[in-house]
Amino acid sequence: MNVYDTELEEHPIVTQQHQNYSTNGELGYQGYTPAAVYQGNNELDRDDDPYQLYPQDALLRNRMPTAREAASGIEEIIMEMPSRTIGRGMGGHIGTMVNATLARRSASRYRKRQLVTLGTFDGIERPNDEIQELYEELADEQTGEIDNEELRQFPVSMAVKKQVRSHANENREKKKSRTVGSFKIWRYNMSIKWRHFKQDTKKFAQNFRLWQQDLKQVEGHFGTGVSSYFTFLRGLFLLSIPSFIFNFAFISLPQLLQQPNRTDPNITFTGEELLTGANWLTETIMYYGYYINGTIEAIPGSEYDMPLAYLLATAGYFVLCLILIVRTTASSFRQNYVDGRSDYNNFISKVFCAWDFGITSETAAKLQHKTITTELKEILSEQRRSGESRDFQEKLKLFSLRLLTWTLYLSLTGGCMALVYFVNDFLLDDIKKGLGGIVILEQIALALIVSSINLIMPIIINLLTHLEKYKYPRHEIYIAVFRNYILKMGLIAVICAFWTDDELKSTSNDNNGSATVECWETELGQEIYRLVIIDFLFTIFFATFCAEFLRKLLVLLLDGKEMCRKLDRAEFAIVNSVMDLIYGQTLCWIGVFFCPLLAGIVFIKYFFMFYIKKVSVMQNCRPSRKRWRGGQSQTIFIGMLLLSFLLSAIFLCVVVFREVPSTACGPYRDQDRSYDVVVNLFNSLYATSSGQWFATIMDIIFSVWFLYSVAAGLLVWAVIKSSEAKGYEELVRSLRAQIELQGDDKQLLLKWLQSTVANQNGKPPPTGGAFQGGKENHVVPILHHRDSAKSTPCPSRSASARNSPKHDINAPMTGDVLTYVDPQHVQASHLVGERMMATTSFSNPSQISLRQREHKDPLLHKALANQQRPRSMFVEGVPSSYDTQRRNSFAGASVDLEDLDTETVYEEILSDPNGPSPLLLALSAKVQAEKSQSSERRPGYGRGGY
Amino acid sequence: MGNQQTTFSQDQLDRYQDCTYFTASEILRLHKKFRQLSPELVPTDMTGNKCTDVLLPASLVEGMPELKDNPFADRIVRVFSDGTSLVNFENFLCMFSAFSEQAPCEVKAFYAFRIYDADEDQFLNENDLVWTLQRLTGGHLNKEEIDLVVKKVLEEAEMDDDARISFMEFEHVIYRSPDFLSTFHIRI
Repeated sequence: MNVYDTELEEHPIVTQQHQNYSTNGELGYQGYTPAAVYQGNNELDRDDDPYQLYPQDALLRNRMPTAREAASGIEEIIMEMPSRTIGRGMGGHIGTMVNATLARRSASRYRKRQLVTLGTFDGIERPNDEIQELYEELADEQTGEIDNEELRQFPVSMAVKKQVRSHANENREKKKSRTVGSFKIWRYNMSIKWRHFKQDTKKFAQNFRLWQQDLKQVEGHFGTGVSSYFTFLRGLFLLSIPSFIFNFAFISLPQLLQQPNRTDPNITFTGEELLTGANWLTETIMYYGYYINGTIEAIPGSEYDMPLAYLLATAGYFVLCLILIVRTTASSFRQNYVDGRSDYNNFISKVFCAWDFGITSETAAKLQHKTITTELKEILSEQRRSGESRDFQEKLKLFSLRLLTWTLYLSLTGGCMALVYFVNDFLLDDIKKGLGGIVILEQIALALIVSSINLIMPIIINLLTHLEKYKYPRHEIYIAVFRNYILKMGLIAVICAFWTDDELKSTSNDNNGSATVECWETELGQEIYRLVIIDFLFTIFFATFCAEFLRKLLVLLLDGKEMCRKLDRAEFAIVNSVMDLIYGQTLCWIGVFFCPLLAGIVFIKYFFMFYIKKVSVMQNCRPSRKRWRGGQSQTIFIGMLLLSFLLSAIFLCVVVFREVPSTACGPYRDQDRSYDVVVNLFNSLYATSSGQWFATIMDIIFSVWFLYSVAAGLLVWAVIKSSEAKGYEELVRSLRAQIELQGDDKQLLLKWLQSTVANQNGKPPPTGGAFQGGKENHVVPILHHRDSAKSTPCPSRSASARNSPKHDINAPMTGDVLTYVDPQHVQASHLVGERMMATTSFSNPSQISLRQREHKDPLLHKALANQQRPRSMFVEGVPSSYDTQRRNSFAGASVDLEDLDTETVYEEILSDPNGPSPLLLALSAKVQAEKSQSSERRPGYGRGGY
Repeated sequence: MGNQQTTFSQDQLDRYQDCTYFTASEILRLHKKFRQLSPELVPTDMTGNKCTDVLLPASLVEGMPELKDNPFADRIVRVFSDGTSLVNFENFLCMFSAFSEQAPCEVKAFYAFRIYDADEDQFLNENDLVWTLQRLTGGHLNKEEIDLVVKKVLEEAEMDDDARISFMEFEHVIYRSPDFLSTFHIRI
């Protein structure tokens, strides 16, 4: 704050000029000098300011010490505003919060306005004080450092950014030279280092963005929809890398170092194993059954407990996936659902968010024109139709239709699941009894059937859903996706249930004819391996080769023939492709316990898939005619992925905690449950003397009271959070109402203004300071508010704008009128031949500023400017000649104060160093008169009204 | 690394990395793109004042692959050259920074508003909207339909009944459009 003291002293002319003016003023606001304003600010800036809950009033008190009547008049006006009444109905808390939010809003609005002037790209350097102000706006209060993120976010030209940056550097140098405590220096240095470290890691991560160019290519030709599939694929690919490394390093590698003997050494690798995953592969590190139940002592002196490592590594893998997926889901959800709400602004998003700026191909651009047109037409006709609701008969028809399709769907799904179960049963019997012919075919038969179902059923589902005639295409997609997902999960569930069935695991010496297996874990692992491989091949062969490549060939072959006009290249089926990816990933999660290397296989699969799909899309497909709503669908897909993950995790938990492991194979062959290894570990730890403390800790952790207290703590936390959420909901609702009321404020203010002006019309113009200046005083107030901000400094704005919203309600009101002078206007005014005085005649900037202030009556300016140039409302500093002609037309004009909401009006009223204008005085006088007539005092009025 | 030394000074690179959403390699890639537009005008060595002094005509920039099929190309270039129809490398960087994936909604909304504000009066009025729609639909929509859509858009965005959309109003509605971030995005 001392900085401002000195700054003020450095400009004696400011104070002097003001005092001069104040004594000249006929309305008697002598005490109202910049110094007074400044003191007022100072008081407000203190943390213990008793008025801080009522900044509006506090401000009024401090800012208008000598113009009591006028101030109270304004207070009355303000209290009359519909928006002021909002806090009264609610508790003080909400009221304060609303206020704080409002303050933040107006602070950011202040910022935005400023940007409009600074966001120019002419490359001209700005004057130092502007830069200083910008710097204060951006810099951190304590360190004076500018966060690069802030700098990047500030939409100004590079020239300005550079200046601000070098300004910050200079400041840093200055700071360094000052004497500061060594701890502070150390902390400061550490914070800088930490920041640099964060930036470096971020940059490092950015440099490794995989397939960026491919994504760009796809997006350029097909838009964000298709590229979202590839982004999804890339995400899964990246997820599989650490998973694979993790599993390989902790499970497979140790076992590789010490390989157990194979039961049948005659089996050799033939090649078909890659497809079936059986035979030779059965006894390799690929499957659960191969891992030993003892310790590995490959490295002399070390013992590696395989069963424990197996369990912990799998658990670690799941925790890793959980963290990554939950984070992605949360951010995607926040971005697409919490912040954005669909349906709310249908047309807006169809107009302003319609064009995909990433598109770089001409055909895609042409298609996009058409797509947007069709969409707009559709939505228009929809709007026309929306009035007419379906009558009862239609509703009944639709209901029965949907009932039919649902039954059909459910029976089909059930049929598929039953088919898979019985085929599995049959095949198992067959193989075990050594019947049947071709072994490979029998081995992969189930996988073939499941993949075929996965290929055909989505088509049927889409057809069924299409028949149901949903009002919005989006709903149709969601329902189809939902059905598809249920089907896929159902199929996986059937397979899992089949292999974990207790009958299968019953000891091998039963003779009741039903087949049993020696190692059900390995069998399940093999089944999943096959499913993954066959699914991959199916995708490549049918979905990519047949549906896309052959179709393209067909189109090329029959090009121009009459009968196949309608046949065109395939569109990329985003939904089905993403569903396939989710299905594949679910298989991977389920199978990873039984087949630890599955993550590696999936990794390879994704890698090839990306390139094959990309080439196919680029070569064979055409851009979609329908637009794809990327954001929300993406969230739904990620959400389904999370659900799949949780389902797989639950399944594996059941396997680990409840299922009996095979007695003939695997790391848990001598345990009742897989989980027993952990129990054993604890027991062994308890036994050792050094493990005593550990035992105690474990006892505490697993004791009833501890678990209860943890549960209770979580419960309390959940309750707190939920009530917080409710509070925020309430806040949002009240803020909505506040926004609406702000609109009412504006209307009300306008009505008053108009009626007041109408009353004055015909009377001689008031001789206020604002209208006093003659011709010679008209100036073009270029960049006016920057000067004014300097002479009436506002330390609170930049300093506390981000940190303490309570204070910055002061910010926009402390003396800077938000001004934008557009060059067009200056030109226009010249052309009009208005009495203009060259700005250059005032060499001292503060002098200019004072001169400008003298002739500024913001309300009037607004109105006049509005009338003169109906479309440009950023002009404020119009020459304020107040001739009768103008006044007349002003009074009659329909004044709509664009962009001038009540906050701004107050700001401008209050910030005028000349005190309120005559217009305003008249206004407040009118209110006063009305008040005294009714002589009714509102309860709660006085200190803020909240 | 050697390449970096010849194109930009370390100081320049630092500065641009601080001011935009790009990494050093991306800045170099953008420079390559910038140079491709006119190899005779743009030197490989950009040290000194060349980043601000070397100016390319707007038509060249509009013709670059990333923009040539964009119906708003001329507006984009105009916004980022401040109407001078000359683009220097710094403005070029700023332009792609605003379109980059890392740029937050605030920045994108700010520039989107300026791009759609064809008559540069700081408001999206009816004319701007009609103009935008014509560009968007490529002339496939007839007059009445366009008028109807404009009416609907105004209805949705308007809060103060002045039949035009201010930046605040625009920002307010655009934050709620989940597709905005994904569509207002140019990969480099």
